[in-house]
Amino acid sequence: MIRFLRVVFHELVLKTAFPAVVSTLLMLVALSLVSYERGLVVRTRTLEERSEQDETVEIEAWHAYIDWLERLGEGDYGRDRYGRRIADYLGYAFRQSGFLLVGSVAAALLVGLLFASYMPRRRRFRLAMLPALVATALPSFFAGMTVLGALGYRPYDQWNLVYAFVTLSLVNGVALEAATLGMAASDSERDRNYVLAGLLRGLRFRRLPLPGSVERHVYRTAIPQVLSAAKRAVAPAVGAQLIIEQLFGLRGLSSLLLNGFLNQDVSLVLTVFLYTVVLCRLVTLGLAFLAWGLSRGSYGA
Amino acid sequence: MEHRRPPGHGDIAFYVTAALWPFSLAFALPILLVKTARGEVPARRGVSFVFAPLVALVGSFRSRDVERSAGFACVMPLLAGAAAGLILAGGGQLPLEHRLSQFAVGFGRLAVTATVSVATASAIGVVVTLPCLRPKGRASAEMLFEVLEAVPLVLVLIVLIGFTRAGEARLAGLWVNLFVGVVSGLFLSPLPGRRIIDRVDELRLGYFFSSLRLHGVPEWRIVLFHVLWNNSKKPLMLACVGAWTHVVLAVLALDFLLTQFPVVGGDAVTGWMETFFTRSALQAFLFPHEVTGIQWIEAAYPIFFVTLYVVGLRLVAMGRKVPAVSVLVDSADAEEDISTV
Repeated sequence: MIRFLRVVFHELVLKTAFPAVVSTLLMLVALSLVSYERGLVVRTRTLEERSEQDETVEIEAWHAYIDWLERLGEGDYGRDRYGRRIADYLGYAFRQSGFLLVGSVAAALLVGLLFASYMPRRRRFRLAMLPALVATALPSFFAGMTVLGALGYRPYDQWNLVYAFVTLSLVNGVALEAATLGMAASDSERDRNYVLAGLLRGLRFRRLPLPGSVERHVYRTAIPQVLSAAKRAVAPAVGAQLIIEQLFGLRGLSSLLLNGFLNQDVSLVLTVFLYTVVLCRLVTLGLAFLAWGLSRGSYGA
Repeated sequence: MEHRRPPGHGDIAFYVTAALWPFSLAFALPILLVKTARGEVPARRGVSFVFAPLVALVGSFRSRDVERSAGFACVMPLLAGAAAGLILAGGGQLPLEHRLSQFAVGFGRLAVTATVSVATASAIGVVVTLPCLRPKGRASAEMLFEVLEAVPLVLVLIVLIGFTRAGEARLAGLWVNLFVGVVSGLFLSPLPGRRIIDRVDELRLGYFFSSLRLHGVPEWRIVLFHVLWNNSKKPLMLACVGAWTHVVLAVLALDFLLTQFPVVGGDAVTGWMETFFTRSALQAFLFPHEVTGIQWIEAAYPIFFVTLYVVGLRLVAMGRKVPAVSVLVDSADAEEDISTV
């Protein structure tokens, strides 16, 4: 139990909250640097004045940041230029982006592991790796354009979410990590003593980790390594997600970001930035806990 | 008896190049022929661009070094593709000489961005990982890398460029490339940094540090020469190749966003888009829902070569084997020294 609490503290506080706060501070420093010419002043719309007048004001960068932090603590993100409360649709945007990211990462993991399982053994490394490598190297906007051209764009349709999901699963790089590391890890595990013991007890080699197969034990030991490597592909996937959401007209976090730029609203941009980093870290956290849970009691641990 | 080299990623690059050449010929040659017939392109120059992949094919076949083969096979088609795209882009709208100068400027700006980024990433990665050489210094470096890895690079770039516009501190010209290079270098520094940490862990497994200390080597020389230069040089180079591909894709994504949303800072594009895409293809990026087949093909041709370029560099980064730990002192002597101590 104490070990579990230590893992929770380490992952949740040190690896999620701390990076989120520090990254916004980094943004503040950068914001101050880029607006240095104007005496650390940024042009923004303060939260009080946003709903009353339609003109921007100039305030100091630190003032804007502290103002944003105070409002963030109260859960008040102000109103947009149309008078709507941002908090009302921030949750919807976060859920939509979260669903897209989590679903695409999970789908890419499954596809990568299936590639690793089903490719012919002699040449499977090349055959499985090359398509995944090409998909990862493809610019996300071009992949989105291709899917749009092939399937067509339907305004205000839920199918756009499915198309975006397919595109992001292709380009997010998790499939490449899963395919390459899945194969390498399972190959390295096959020479271990527990595999030999399993074979002596009547287990068989199969492609999928089914009951009675050696792969069931091999994958249990190998998958935590795959998940650990896949964590590093999450942040680039979020970058690709920003583009794909815009291409398919989804009302995710990227649309809020664009609204922030349209309104020259530093607070909204910082809020979206924070939420995006938190989303990224939550997905990473999920993968870390999955890896931790799977590695418990495995033979290779 | 001739020793056959083992199959590796260089072979994959060879096959890719082999598949690329007919494609390039089938696609670009008719267009070039039409343009040559119209007198828009000098025939000798155009044909040499198309046959450049053939040169790469022969070069990769002749080369026995797997990494050089992979790199050669992938960089040459990029240049050929860029040149062919340049010819396509210049068709009837701009004189070729003008287009050539624009191409050179755009390509140079991309090179500046990527070079600055990789140099910054290496420098920050090295500086941050120096405390890792002490047993308790690793946690701080790991935490900083966690922070930097948690932030999507494209998001940072778009927000910062948006802020520069909001603050009316507009960046222009080469300053955009330097700015993007430094920022992306900061956020890509975990790539080389983690490679060095892994290398230090490998070194720590043996008698590396203790043997060097027993031989009286000063601490600064252990760090700078034996660890960083002698043992981390190749992992660092591999990480830099990987970081280079990240920069190329990030800059392309950034340019797309800035093209699609001029409100963010359309005057701050890095020149990458303007270099490789035709005007019609750029218009397609503005309205991706209404893209036509011709526009898609015009966009696909440069993208194909960019993808191949990134794939090739990633194969190079993945393919090269890092040599075993290099210790300048004899390990048997070191063990003897330790047992004596």
